[in-house]
Amino acid sequence: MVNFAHAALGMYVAFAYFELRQTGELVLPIIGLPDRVSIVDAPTIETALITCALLSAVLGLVIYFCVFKWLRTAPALARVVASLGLLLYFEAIVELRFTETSATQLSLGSILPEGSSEWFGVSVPNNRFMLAGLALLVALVLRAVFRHTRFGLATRAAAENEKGVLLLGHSPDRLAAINWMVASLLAGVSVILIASVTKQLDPLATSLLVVPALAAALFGGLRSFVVTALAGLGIGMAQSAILNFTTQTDWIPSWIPQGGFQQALPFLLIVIALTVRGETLPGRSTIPESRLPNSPHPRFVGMTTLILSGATLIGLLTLDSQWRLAIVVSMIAALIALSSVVLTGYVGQISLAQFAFAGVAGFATAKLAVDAGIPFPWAPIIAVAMTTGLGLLVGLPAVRVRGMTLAVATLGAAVAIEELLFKSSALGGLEGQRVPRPRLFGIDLGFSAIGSDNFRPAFGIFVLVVLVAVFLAVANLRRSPTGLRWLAVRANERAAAASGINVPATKLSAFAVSSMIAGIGGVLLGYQLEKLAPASFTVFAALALLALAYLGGIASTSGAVIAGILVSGGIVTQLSGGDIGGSPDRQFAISGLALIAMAILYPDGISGAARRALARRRRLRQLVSNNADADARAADRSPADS
Amino acid sequence: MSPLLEVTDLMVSYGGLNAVDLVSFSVEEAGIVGLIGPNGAGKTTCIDALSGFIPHATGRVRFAGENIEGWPAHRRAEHGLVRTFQSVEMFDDLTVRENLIVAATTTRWWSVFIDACRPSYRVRNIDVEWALEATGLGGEGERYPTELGHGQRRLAGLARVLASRPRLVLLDEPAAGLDSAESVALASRLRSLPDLGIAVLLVDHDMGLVLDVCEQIHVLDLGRVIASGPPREVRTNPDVVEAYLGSEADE
Amino acid sequence: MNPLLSLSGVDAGYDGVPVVYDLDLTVGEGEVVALLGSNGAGKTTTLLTISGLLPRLGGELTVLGAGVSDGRHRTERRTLDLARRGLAHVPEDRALFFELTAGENLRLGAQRGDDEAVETALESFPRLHELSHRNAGLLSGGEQQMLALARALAGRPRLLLIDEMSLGLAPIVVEQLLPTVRAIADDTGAGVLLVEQQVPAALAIADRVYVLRRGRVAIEGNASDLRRRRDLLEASYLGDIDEDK
Repeated sequence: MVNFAHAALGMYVAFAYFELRQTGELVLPIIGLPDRVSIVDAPTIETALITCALLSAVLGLVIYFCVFKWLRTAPALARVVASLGLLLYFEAIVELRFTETSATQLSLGSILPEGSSEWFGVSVPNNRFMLAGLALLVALVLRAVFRHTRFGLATRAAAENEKGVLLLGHSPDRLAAINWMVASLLAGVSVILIASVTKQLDPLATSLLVVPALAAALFGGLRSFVVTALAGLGIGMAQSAILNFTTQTDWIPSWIPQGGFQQALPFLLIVIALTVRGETLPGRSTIPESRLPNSPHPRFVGMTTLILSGATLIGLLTLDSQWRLAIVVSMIAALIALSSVVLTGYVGQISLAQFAFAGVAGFATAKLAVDAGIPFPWAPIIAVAMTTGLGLLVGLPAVRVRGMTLAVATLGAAVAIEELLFKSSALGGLEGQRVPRPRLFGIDLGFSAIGSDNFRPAFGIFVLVVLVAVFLAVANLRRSPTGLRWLAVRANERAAAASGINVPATKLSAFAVSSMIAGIGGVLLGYQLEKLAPASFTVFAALALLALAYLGGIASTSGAVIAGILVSGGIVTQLSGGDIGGSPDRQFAISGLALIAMAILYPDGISGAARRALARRRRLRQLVSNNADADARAADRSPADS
Repeated sequence: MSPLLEVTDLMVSYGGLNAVDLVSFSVEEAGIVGLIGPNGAGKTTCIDALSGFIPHATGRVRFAGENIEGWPAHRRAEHGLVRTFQSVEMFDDLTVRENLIVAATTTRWWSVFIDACRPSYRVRNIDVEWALEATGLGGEGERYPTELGHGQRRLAGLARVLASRPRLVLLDEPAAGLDSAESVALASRLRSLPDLGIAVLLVDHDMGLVLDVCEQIHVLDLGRVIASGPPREVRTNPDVVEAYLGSEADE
Repeated sequence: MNPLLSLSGVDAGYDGVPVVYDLDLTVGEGEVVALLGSNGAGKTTTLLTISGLLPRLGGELTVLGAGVSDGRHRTERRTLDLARRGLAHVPEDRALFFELTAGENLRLGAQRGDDEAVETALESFPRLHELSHRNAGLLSGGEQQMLALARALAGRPRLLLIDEMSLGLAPIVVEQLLPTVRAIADDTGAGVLLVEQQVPAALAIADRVYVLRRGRVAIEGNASDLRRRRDLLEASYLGDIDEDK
């Protein structure tokens, strides 16, 4: 499985390490337990390192037994959702428990020896070489273990066929637990080492280390330790080389943000790796990877739409300004979630770049309106068209890869778009980009009222109209031949191709439709916020929304609506009075846990669980009557039998 | 008149091993041809190559007067060359009828926009209804493939290829896992296909079925054609007995 | 002598819905028992329930001397426990590890360090010797089935469950494999429960036979009797369809 919280776990352990070195106290990551326990007064490097290594191993075990053990047979997406919950949790816990942490300016002595040597005219610190050597050594040891020991063989076997190892008397549970322990230990120790060498430890940036790490793993085909280690080292070196290069040359346009190329590199490498490795159609013996929840035939679409939009309209017109904001936030989130329903729910392509699409459309609208002076309906239309084109481009890897690999590729794309475009000075950089108010036939559709801080219902109605139109279009598509073809591709690419479906074109059409919807959402978000900044479209927000959409029910339009209602700042937040469980960080931690819990309880999403319960009851009833029939017939034929 | 499908020197190799080695044969318009051979003889690989699932296959393949080598699978299917799978591979999220609709309809790039604007699409596709009737699944259209028994699932797989009104169907072990009664029923359905203008290339282990249904049989062993001819000849061919039937031929 | 396997009044099925009712069945040491029946009769369900991959829905189930009373929960523990005590189950899909070599597959089937068992298993299937460094996924269907059987043997099983060995195999391969199964029972004293589509092949090697029909035992008897009474068997097995041989 792919764990998006892996670097975040390492990040937490590294924080714990530096805190332990300074104060002699070990910070525990579990809400409900005491914040910190005192270990020794002045820990040496060795004690601290060993303690933290143990801490990571134990954490790995706890995470496996509390979370992923229960998701072993769940769809791949449920596990992604759980790992996203874990990521949110670690982020929040670090913010909560290392409030004044020293770790941001790491003045502590390095673990690895200092000193540097000269290579090709560049001075390179020796500890970098040691780190690289260590990584390779670990990779070689792991390779030997997984090639030759019984444990290693059994682990590889279990990754392929759990039932098989179970029948041979190897416990898949035990294997998984040990692997979690080892992987967590490696993550913890390596982030400690990296931080002690670079003297930097930033919660967000460190968690995103998972992107280049996954890129390296993809190079190794998620299989080869040595290739992965080499690829990882290569990516790291290329990134520093690019950084050097971009600071020394001046022909690179100034709008590209510092470090943009560096961060975008993993994505490019992922794309190259995947295009080389992928196959247009899965092979005969390929095991289907991500089972997705059923996509029900939408029923009562007209009725549902009428009731929901009526209620929303009344809400917009009668409730106060804060409520209007909450309703608008929910509607826009539902719109972006709908884009995931099309792409992930209907066609089975997991994309983590939906917020990036939204952002591109939002920024483009603002740019077109402010700089080129293009008036309202045209600026967003052109922007959405551009986003659709970008969606097609990002969708290209999907032609050759599928499942979790695609999720990683799109995550790389999202990071690249964020770093290269959103942080660009041409888009206002960190300060942000003003978005002009929409105005149609002389009617002001802007959100905030001029001269007061109230929100205007006109904008809400505008959003509602757009949402209803998109919602109906998606519901129509699901029932049309196009939708059937999408679902066919999702169910079985080989059979789809054999039925005359052009699989690559079908996937790309879904990427186009989906990025178009996300783009529309992004335009509306721009108009709502009135000023866009890189922070408006972070990768984390995208992950959180995908998780919500999955929990709502990724394969149905109603799931998107549920996601919109649940989104932070939306209707549920407003209902609960805006504060659940104190500080925002605590809230984040709790919502992270909630995500995990929901993923375990409802691996098929909320709406899926409800439908399954109904279907099961129906099937039981049918079976009972069938058996009664069969028994009756048997009794007719041979009375002696009964 | 040239045959519907003409295969010349078809070759597929995996890692130095020739799974299909210079195989040549042809299928006439509305003919029924059997392809048999022991396990690992390359029968399924042949079907994979002919239906466009193995891009690196070499050799000449002419179908309905066109050279189709290099065509992707979906394009071959659109031209009337379709296949079934050993493991059926239905779209489990769709009803049986919807499975057939997928195969029966063609779309263009603009269909997305039309479909998005058309509420409540009700498909009454005559090809779909015909295929359901032809396979005896008329009453099962609204059920999901997972709710069907194994035999009916196989029939549904057959119905799905028929719904596209093909000219040639490649059937990969349609009788695998069927009990004798189901197998007999399948044979009679297969025999009726040529009357509908559909040619058949049949791969199966069930010798009874193949000998019973086919007009012409090619026997593969280790990737090569070792014998060809009508059922009676093939059955008594000593090479075939040696390679395939073993001692069972004595019965 | 106690049988290796005994079922008494067992109900088995999926999601709490039985498809096999009130099944009585025993397998003794060195005995080959065939479980026959048409598609959907409940043969595979029975095997899955015995090895613990499905929870038992009712009745008494004793495997390798230990009663099974765990109800619907913790079936995974039971599967592990039974596997370690000498139950080998070759499932319908064979459950091979395609990414590992044939040799590595065998090694995982044997007890820790029991290389001798691996060798013995290979001796039963000389063909596998030359293939032991090839990935299981690259073997042909018949070779894969041999490997699945050899892997089961490498664990020195006392009770062997084999599901649909002939599925997708050429008759000649089946003819080679079935006598091997008979030999295993005769040489090692292991009990064998064999689910099979090909009735004549199964009758040729079995001691006793159960025929399931719609989840209930329709016929039970000695294989030799049934070989002579083909009519009885076919009437029950083929239903109302005319025999074609």
